[in-house]
Amino acid sequence: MPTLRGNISDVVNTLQKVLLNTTVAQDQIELSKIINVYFILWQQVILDQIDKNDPDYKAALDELDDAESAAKSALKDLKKVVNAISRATDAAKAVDKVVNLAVKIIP
Amino acid sequence: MTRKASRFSLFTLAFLTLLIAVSGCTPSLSEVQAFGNASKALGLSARQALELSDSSTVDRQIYNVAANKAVGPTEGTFTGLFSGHAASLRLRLDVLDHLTNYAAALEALAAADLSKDVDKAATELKGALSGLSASFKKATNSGKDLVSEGELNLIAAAVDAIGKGIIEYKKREAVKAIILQADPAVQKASQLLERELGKSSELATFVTANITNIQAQMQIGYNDERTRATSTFGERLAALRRIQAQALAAHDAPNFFDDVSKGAAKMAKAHAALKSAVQDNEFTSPEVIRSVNELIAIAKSVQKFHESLQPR
Repeated sequence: MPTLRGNISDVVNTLQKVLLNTTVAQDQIELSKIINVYFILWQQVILDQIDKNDPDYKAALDELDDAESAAKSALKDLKKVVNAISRATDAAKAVDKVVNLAVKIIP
Repeated sequence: MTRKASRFSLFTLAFLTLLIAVSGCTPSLSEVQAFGNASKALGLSARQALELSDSSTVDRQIYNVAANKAVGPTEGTFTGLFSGHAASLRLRLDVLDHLTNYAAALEALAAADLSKDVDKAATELKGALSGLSASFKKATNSGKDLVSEGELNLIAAAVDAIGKGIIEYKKREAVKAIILQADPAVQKASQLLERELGKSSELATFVTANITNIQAQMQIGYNDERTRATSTFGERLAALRRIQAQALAAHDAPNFFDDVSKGAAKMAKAHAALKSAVQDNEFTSPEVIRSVNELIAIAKSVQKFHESLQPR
């Protein structure tokens, strides 16, 4: 059964693979920023008891799935990094709605 | 003269026979000591695994600041996972510490040959088991004590029975009582660690992601530096070696957690084998030797992995 923790971990791991493979300075900066946001959210879901019945929880899982797919596409074609960052940003906002951390989503 | 010599020989023979009989009937506590020693080492490594979730978080934040010239450090840069309200992680550290203390005190009791050493080890054993019981109860939100007050009193009575003079037989009886009473607690605490520190556990995944992120920040820093006019071959090579070591650390991190988890299972298995042996008034058996040796091997492997994960 998918969980917020598991899906965040999948997105972070895939985005980090993209980060390790790109040498475009701007992409590296933007990827690092969004990955940092994910680490903050991840820490929060490790520490918090989250209500899985919250409708926002399911929405966040779906957004994270999309973000992971976009990151996988970027891994195959590094020209798609901008799209991967954009999807990851949307998903981070959706997760933030669940954990109520009000993380400043940068991009 | 002949009669005197014959009497002397008979006495010597009787003494030697008695000595052989006594040593033959005195099971060695060396396996109990070996168990305590290896479990103590494993417990310390498991603590390091839990602490990595904190320290690798701080390291990642520091590397991120260093790799991005546009940002500077803030208080949060140096704040790890344990800061704030990570009470659940702290409770697991408590369980682990008490389990390690139990192993250390059991080892000390098995090795004690002075009355004061026995008293010290006995006090530490009771404290460790009582602490293990309380911390496990908190960590798992279970309402039941792992070791009841009655069981703790049984242990205390067994150790008191040793008295002030060291009598090997009585010491073994105390070790036996302790192993029997402590086994359920050791089994449950080990299961908790086995489950929560596995290769795919949340902590393992988080630590691996932290270490991978540090590698990525090192690469960003490298790419930034390599184009500078002052960049030398030697510096670039040294930096690449550090990045390579970091990549290896990211690769090793899940294996480290895997070994800690397996080590906890081996500890439970070895303690169960000891329990089974002492029930038959033995302190060793082929199963005890096998399982303690497995425990020693994994404790060494865990330590080796931990060394490879240290920041460079």
